[in-house]
Amino acid sequence: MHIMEGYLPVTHAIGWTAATVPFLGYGIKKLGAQLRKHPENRLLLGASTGFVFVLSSLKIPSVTGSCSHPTGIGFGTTLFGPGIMFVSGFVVLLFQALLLAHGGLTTLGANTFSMAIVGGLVAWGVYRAGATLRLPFALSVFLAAMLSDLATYVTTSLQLALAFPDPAGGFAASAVKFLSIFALTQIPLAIIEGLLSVFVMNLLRAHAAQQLAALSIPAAQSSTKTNP
Amino acid sequence: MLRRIDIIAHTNRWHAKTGAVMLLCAGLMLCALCLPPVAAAPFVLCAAWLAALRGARVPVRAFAKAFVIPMGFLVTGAAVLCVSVAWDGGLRIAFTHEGARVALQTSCRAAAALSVTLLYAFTSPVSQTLALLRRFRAPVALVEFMGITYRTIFLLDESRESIIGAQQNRLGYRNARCTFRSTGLAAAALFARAHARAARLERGLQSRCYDNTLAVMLPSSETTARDCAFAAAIPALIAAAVIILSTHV
Repeated sequence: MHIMEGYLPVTHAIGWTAATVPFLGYGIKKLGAQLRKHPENRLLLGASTGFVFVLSSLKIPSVTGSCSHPTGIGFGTTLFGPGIMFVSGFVVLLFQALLLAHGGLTTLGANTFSMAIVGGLVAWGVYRAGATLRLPFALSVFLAAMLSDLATYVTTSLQLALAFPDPAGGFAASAVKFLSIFALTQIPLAIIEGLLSVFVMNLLRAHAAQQLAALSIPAAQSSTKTNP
Repeated sequence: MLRRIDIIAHTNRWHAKTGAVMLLCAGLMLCALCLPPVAAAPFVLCAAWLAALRGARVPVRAFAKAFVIPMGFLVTGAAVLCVSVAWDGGLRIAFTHEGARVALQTSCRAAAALSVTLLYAFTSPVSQTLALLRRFRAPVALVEFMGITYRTIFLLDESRESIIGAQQNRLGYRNARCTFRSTGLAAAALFARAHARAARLERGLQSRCYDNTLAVMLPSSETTARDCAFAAAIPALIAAAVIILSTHV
């Protein structure tokens, strides 16, 4: 779920962009370091971001009768970690605005913050917690993808509530309003995205372990541990 | 939509004038965001649509279709802004004039800003935008990463279409259960294809003395000083008109 072009007042658009910049700077630094260390991964990382973009254009059935699409952030974070995913998420959102007219340029900061930063950090935290608690790998991936999706939806609702407080009830009433409207589609969607991520990850570990190993990514390490 | 916008961006009359288009869009976007939205929106909308349809000769149908879809979401969003919720011995939902005013302002601002973004998307090829970003000294790692991603997207999208087409021919999307399974299989196949293709490309480039920079030929920019002056004048005129109207009406 993205906030559409021009929907946020100018001060909010600038504020969310400013909040995104340090995370993006960290991601770019990490990306530069990764490319200096492993220049051969340049094309693989580009292809992986292209994959997240195309993944986000795959339609999945939604409870409201319409179709929706996965964000791919939870899945991507379990593959690449949060730092690079900040940059990947930003690039995916930028291309969605320029090539699909989805989201927007003035709301790019707010959308990157909710989807790539909050979503990415939640996915990474849950995935690491799952590994620490020795949860089954599939359960960790499911929870990471689902909670990342839910965190994105909660952050977007709070961003909207902050921009448009309710005339009577203020920020709290507005947050409840946006959260309950989006909950209709986003909660089932988050569960579906979690299940889909597990399904795809299992297929990849079974049939593309070599490609996962080429990226030296967390999922590949778990794959090697479980399938020696 | 993905390929349609990109093809039009590469074939419209202004495809080599990205610098001037960027200046025009930046000015129009500032007008849409910073001026009183109800007064500025009609001017910005007219300028963006005229520039796209008359100036750059973007096909009306494609531009209108890209505009109408997000406007559907905007209508739903505006309806939400019009109502107020309160807990007063039970849930109370009421229409408020303040909410309606905010909804009108937001809708006007969003419609104007959307037109400007579409004008930029339909008239400026991404390769030209990346060249401009390089000139503005954006981080090299980011620009290169964006370039590689941009080149990969279309190949992957083609693969996605062929995989999904094959699955549909085998009734892979006949119900929700099959749709879920087919989508998962398509995503996994896409990942494997993306990486196999990237590895082949890497090997090919290495054998041609690849030094980690992808040098590509870009069409030369045709932006003139006159284009830039014109691009700066339009938003300035709109801003002046809106300020005069706001103070006198």
